[in-house]
Amino acid sequence: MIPVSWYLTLAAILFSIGVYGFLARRNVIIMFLSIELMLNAANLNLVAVSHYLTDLRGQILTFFIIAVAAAEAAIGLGIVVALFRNKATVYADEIAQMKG
Amino acid sequence: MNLSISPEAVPLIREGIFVGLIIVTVFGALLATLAKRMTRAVLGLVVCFLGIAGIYYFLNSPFVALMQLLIYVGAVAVTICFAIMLAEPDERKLAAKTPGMAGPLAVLLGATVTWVLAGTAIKAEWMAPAVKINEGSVKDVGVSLLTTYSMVFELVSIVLLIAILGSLVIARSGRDKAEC
Amino acid sequence: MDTAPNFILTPLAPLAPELLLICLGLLLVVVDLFLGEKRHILPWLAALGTLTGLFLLGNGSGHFSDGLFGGMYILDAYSLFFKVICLIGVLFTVMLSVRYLDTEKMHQGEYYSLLVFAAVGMMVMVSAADMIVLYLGLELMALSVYCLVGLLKSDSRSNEAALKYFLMGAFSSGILLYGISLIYGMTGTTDLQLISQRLTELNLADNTLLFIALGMVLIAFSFKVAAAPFHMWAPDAYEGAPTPITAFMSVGPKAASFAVLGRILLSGFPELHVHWGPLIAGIALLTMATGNILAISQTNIKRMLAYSSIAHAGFALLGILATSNEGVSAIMNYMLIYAFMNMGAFAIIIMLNNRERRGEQLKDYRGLAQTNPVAAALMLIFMFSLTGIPPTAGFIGKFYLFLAAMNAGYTGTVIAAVILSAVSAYYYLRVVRYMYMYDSEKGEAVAMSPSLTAALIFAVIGVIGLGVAPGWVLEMASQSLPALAQ
Repeated sequence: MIPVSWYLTLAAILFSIGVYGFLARRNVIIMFLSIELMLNAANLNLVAVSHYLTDLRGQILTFFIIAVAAAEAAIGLGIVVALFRNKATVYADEIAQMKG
Repeated sequence: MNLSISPEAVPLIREGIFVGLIIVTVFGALLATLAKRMTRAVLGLVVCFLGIAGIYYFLNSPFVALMQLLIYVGAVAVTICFAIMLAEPDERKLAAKTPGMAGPLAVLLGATVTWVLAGTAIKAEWMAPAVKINEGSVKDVGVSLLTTYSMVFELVSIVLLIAILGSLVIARSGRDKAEC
Repeated sequence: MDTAPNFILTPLAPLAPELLLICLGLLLVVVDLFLGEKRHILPWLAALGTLTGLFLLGNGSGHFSDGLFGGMYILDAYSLFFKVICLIGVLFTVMLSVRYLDTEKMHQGEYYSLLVFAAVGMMVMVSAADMIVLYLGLELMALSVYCLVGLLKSDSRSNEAALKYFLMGAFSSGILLYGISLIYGMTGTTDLQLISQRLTELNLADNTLLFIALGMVLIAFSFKVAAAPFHMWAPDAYEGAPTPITAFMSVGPKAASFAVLGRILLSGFPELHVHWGPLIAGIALLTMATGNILAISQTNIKRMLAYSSIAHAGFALLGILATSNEGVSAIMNYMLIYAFMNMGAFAIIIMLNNRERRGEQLKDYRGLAQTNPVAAALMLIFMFSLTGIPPTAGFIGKFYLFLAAMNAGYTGTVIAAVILSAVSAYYYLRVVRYMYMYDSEKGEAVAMSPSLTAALIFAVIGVIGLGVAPGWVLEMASQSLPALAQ
């Protein structure tokens, strides 16, 4: 029996890698990948806890998060494509038109 | 072929596989955020997703593991690949861009987050695991999705509708200029 | 073993407004496909549907229920009030959009249906009693608004705004979910009422991990309402978005996020007030300071109103801080008033808008009092109200918020808020100065349209009416509170 804290630690590590990637990288697609890692960390927590409490809620919420993540991916990448069509760049520091 | 495993070795093998999955997951995540090429980053993400799917299987949650494979690996990763193909980002620029000041700060922040979250999670007293009933089977999840959570299930369908509508409207070029 | 699962057949009548709006959203998509050239009826269809929704909301106000779908969906006066604010926001947005979409040559069909779906998301959020429903509602709203922000496809500022808003929104969703997962881990449930029960049962009030989890939820909602350290996306997103959507974002999603924040903190975590109280006080102070001070240096009026909206979020946080029925009813009152005055100000901006984006810069308001005295007078009223000058509703809103926070013992925070409110007079009244003290450069009159006129009349009646006779809204708001703070 693997203790639940293992899973939670793994989730914490994944979450931090995601936060790091989001803050440090300037490529919007990689920033988006980092957000996916963060969502996966939350999912991992939910499923682990759900397993240990023998309660289905965590798994159900995970299912919904996965479904919404797919929707989010579609829209996010639509926005990236539209942006690229106008500006031909995917780098967050090159698209800053508005300041102040 | 008769491969006999002594009963004592079973937990050991389980733990070995588990540690292997953890390593795969973390490796994939690191590759996804640190890679110098975008296709490698997506590959890292897929590896990470696969590792997590394996861990879900360990957690007796085959339904979520399946969803992870189908939707994350099958849909999200593929969508990202499409975005990379359509946007054709300049790969050399990606290699040249080093995270300047933001880099160390983000590392520091990430490390703090891990330390705080993992530290408190390990120390916290968790409720004792209850007796295993047949939880997490595909049937149980399916039944509760369509009974207790029926409303949320309907809501997801609207979210997906918006995703279709929205991404079409946004990514498709200039119908607004031609008509109206 | 093989008994048929118990399907929960909930009577759907109480959900009529939500169902109506879902049907409206679908109808708009379909009608758009088949209408061809007659697309200009779409906004009227959307407005009619929203009005019917408002009517149904008022009609259903008698039968509340605190547990549809197994306790996941609450219909109480609190949610009703915020739903009314959201629908008023949608109605205003539709009225503002007609002219704007024409001048910008934007495509119509999906625009209105996305707007309506965003409204559905807000209504679900506001009624959610379970984190699962809450998350779904939140995403339903957020995804629609991301698309709406990016709809001005030929303008790269709109693309940029959508991208920034999307990345920040998704990032904050990630943080929110991690927080929710930890809360679920500690309490074993996602139901807000149950969370509050378990907190006392399991004696979790001093648990560090739970505190961190709640902190993450707070950070996520600070992103959503654009509160201070997490506000940086807001000015860009507000400036780049199509102007009616900017107006919508500062009213609808913001009110819904405040409603949810209030419900989470006051109905899920009342025991932890000692912990989150000072945190919220700090965020509120920082938000008011950042918003008001950065707004001073803006020359783009949309951007200025974005900072103003940040500042107003700071003021509204004072009501949550108060943790009393008084405080919450003050927020509800304030959100309603803010909807009217902000929509009014944006209606004037859209009125001045033409293809060259006139009306967005401060200098476009030079001499408006000569070329168009009525518009200038209306803008004057809205600016006075946003500042909080007495005969207008803005004053009443701020007054009750400050009073509530004062009674809860946060005197220092309130004093700072009053000072910052005085600072805000500088930039709001600068617009007035431009209109009345300078001569116009070109002197072109602005064209009106029936829908804009209607929006302006509606807004002015709201701002003056709520300022002169504020009693009934507060009374209605405070009636709804026993349901929340059980």
